[in-house]
Amino acid sequence: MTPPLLAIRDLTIDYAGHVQAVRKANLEIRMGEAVGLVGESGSGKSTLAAAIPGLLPDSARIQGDITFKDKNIAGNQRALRGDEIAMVFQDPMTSFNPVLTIGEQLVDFQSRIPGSAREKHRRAVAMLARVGIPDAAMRAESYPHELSGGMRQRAAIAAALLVNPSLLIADEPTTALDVTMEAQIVHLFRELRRDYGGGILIVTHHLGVVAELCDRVYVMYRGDVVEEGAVDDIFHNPRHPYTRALLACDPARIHERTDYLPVISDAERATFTRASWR
Amino acid sequence: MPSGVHEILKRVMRDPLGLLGLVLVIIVIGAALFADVISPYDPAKIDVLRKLQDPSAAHWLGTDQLGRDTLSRIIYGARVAMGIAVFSIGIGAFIGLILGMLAGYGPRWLDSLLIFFFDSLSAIPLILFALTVIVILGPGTGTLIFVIALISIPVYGRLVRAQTLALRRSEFILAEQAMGAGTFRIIGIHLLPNVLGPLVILVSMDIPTVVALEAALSYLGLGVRPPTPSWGTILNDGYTSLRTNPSLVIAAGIPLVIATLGFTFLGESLRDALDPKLKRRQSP
Amino acid sequence: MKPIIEAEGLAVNFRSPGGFLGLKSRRLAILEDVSIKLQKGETLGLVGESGSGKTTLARTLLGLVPAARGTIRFDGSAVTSFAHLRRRTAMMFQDPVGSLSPRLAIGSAITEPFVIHGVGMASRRAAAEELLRLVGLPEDFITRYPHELSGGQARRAGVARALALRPDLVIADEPTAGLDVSIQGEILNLMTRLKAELKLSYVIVTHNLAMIRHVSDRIAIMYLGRIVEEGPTAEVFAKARHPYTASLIASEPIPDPRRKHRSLAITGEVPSVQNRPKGCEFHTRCPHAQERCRIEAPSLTITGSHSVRCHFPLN
Repeated sequence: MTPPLLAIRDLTIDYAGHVQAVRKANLEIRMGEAVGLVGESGSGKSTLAAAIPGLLPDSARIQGDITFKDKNIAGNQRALRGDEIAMVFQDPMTSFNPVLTIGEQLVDFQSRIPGSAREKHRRAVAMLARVGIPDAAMRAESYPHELSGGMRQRAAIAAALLVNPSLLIADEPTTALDVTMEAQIVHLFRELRRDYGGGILIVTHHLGVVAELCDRVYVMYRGDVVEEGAVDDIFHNPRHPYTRALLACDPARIHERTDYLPVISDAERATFTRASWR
Repeated sequence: MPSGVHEILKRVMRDPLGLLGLVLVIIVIGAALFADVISPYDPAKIDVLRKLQDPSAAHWLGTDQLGRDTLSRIIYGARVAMGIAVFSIGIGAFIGLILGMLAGYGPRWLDSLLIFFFDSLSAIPLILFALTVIVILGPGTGTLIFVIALISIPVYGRLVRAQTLALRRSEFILAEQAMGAGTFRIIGIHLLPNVLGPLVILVSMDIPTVVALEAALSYLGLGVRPPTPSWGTILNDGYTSLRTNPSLVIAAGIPLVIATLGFTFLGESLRDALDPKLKRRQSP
Repeated sequence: MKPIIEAEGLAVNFRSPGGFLGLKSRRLAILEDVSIKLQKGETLGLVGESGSGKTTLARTLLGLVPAARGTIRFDGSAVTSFAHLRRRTAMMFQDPVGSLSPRLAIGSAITEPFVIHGVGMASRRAAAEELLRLVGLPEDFITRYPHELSGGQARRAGVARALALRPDLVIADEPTAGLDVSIQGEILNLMTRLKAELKLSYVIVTHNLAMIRHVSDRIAIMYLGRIVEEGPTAEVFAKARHPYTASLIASEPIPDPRRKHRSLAITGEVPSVQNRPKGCEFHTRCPHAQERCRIEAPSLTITGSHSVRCHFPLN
């Protein structure tokens, strides 16, 4: 069996003296796999995702292994950033420099790839078209604020794919978007997976997105990975009480109209940290 | 608000530079307020026989060219410096605050009018303007205060206007409107406290500037009239007798440095203390 | 039964700044011909995406945004001055922390309505404590400041402030935005419980379909400043008549891997208000658009309590 593209073992992240954001997390992504990382605020999922390309603040202390393509990269991720590992963020507005056109920035993102500027521009326009931006050549001359939120997110995905990364990390890629735009981005990801052979990590609190796109899912709660499994198992056969509670709370999963929605009580929360799914 | 002030003071005192600044400022203001009590001699008392003496037990900082005790003149100089700074900045900031809030919260035509007013005032070069007014009205404390106040109105006005404009659109202002709060309530209770912060910081950073400006003008003979002791006048006096007795220049320079450093450190510490985002995050 | 609030033919415009001295500014229509009615004790969901005008409609109903045309009636009487509405209506804002005055302690913030309207309290502190208890916040929150509160706590404070004077109508703008799923339920349940206890009526503005389906009695779908469909929630969800409604419902990713969407329900983007399509404004994205849709704007077709603005409604 080929080794995984990314293997995280016993990863613990804490910020000098404060609570541990991530506690002994294990996670694996194989080439061609789409993995979902699910949790609520404070679960540590974004911290974990940011640790992979080394985007945590200096005050963060990382312990454990992050192995990428068989090499331990913990503490050394900068070399791979933007090249082998690419990231798409939640807020498409802040992903781009407001004073440069989209085209200029996409060319700039390819700085580590050999080739002429014209060649890079051509590739950039082609990628913009590939992610579904109409009139890509014209759009490349636009500034970020001239594009709608959905367009910017598509452009951000184009930017990430342009460098042909082995691993694409998307942190809440659809959270800032409207429903119909979210559906389009989900659809785009699904389409891109046919051509893109690398690994994808999708960090989100939106269970619907996970169900649509992911092969395997990790569930996090307050810094711990509490459950892991194939997407069908997680949704239809959840083992950890937190996973079950999370699924129960999602109003989209409740078929009958109900006056009072399910919540997670403090008593229930106390059981999450004690229970173990193993 | 009262609890806020207490909280802010605590934070300033926790910052070492802020604490230092606070101490220096208290020294300067203390000298200004209690000059009559702590000054060893009458600053205007001339004693030509004892002119240009070196520091001694009787005169800690020596005497100037007319035999006046330098230390006493320095202490009273604080009163002059603080008095001018407080009045001129106070008047400028007060008028700037009102005009700024009117410009930011009022109708657009009023805003345009006030901006035009601010721009006109700022377009005048400071030194030229100061000199012109002094020539017209004659030098003196009053003239100085008038000039500085007038020049500072647009600076404070623009700051307050920018803050007000930014806050005007915020959700909490809309919420107050939705609750039926009147214009005066919104301006007085919700806008004012949020606008005062940056203003206070700017004011405390401006004080050393005004002190230096007053010293400069007095040095040129265009500021306060003798025998009123001003640090600038003392510097001037010291310059003429630099060869024989450098202690005068040093003695006048020191309070200027103390005042400048003190207010600057305090101002910066206040800025950090007033920024709510810098507050240590409470448990979520 | 008198409706608690009723709007007829509302139109709201926005003057976009432009040119020298504003000479080239353009008039953009944000709301066009909007009519809604809310019965006492009902919860109406205003659903739409960005640019639909739902927040503007919420604010216009309370007079926070001036209407260019149209009438509003509150509890049967025409509204001439919104100042009279302030005591009997309340609004909960989208940004829970941002809608609280940053330098005002929570205790003071939630009792603002008392002071503004000169309503007596035993003591400001007692009134604040009572309100905090009502929304399930600990009493020591009286001295806390907005930036010290979590999103959920700030939302509860917003509920407390909205209910201070026991209004008849509460308009909530995205009450669950930014909240974790498990906390969303808490806030919504609180609102539902208080609705029954205090006999309130709600207008809830949201783009979260899954949530509004459970919480509202009636629902109005908005697109580009118009209401395109309106009716009882259960009916609209079961048998959507406007293609946009159907697309919205079909677009929501389902949290079940066995039920993936095979194809996109709707493509393209919401047109800009500066460039409104001719005819039916939805025709540029409508999978069922026909010639007539490109030319003629549809009027409202009412069937019972369910209305739709479409030439060829579904179902």
